[in-house]
Amino acid sequence: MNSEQRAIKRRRSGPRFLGHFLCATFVVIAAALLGVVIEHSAIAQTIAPHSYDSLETQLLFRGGRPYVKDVVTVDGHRSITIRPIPLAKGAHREAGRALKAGPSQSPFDPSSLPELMRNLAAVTAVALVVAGLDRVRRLVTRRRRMLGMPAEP
Amino acid sequence: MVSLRSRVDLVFDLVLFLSFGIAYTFDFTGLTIHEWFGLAFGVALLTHLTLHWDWVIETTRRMFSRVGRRRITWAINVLLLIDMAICVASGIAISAVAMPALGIHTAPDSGYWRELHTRTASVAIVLIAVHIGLDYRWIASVSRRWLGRAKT
Repeated sequence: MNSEQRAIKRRRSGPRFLGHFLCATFVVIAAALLGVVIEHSAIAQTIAPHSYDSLETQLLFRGGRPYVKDVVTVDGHRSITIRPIPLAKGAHREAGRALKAGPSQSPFDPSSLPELMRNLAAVTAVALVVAGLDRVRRLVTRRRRMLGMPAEP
Repeated sequence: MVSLRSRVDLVFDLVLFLSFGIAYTFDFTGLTIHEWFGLAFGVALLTHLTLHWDWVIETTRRMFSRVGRRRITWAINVLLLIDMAICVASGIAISAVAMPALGIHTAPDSGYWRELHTRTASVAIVLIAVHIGLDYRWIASVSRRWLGRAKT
């Protein structure tokens, strides 16, 4: 590729990226809408019956700290749970001026670092298992080809 | 020799993986950072899709003529796309800090969107692992060549 071709490619890469970005945005929005439609569909209810009617949540602020209040109704019995939401530095200001400022936590809570590591390790482990299975599949396919059998059973 | 594009892709994908891990661990970030991180992740996700747009078009076009693995990869990617799109959209819907700070009204009390956000995030973590696993050969190949080149 000579310098002129490279210059043309460079000139075209910006609008091309923008075009692809717009397409990707459209696809993501369409995917979200499709997902919600599927989630509401009778097929989804058949595969995994679910209802959100019995669940009510409410965001509460007490002493400047946010809490989630879950009200779950199962067979006519109501159960209420209130759980705190960890709030990062600066959130009080942004969450609303009506709130009274309380003690703010560090943006990153080091005590949750093992949990983060566990999550990343779990993803890596599953990825390695999938990669291993894929490798086995490749080896089997290659062996079948060597034996003159069709690659896919 | 690893092309600049491959290196950008690899680093960007690694950043996406770590970002999702951090955003997923809610207790680690707290609400505010979780929300801003989630929004940034949504934009990064769009960029990831944009960078691989040619692959998306090519694979979708050949989807019905190909057999086996490519179809599985395509199906997993589509599922992941739908799941992540709902996860980010529902996160925006229940945003209590980031979106109000941008002047956009949300529904933080909505049990429906909150439940959907939690469930799609749980599904996403599994699908991401499978997505990475299926692209492991590319990751290993680029990493090996890049590190090999760095040593010399």
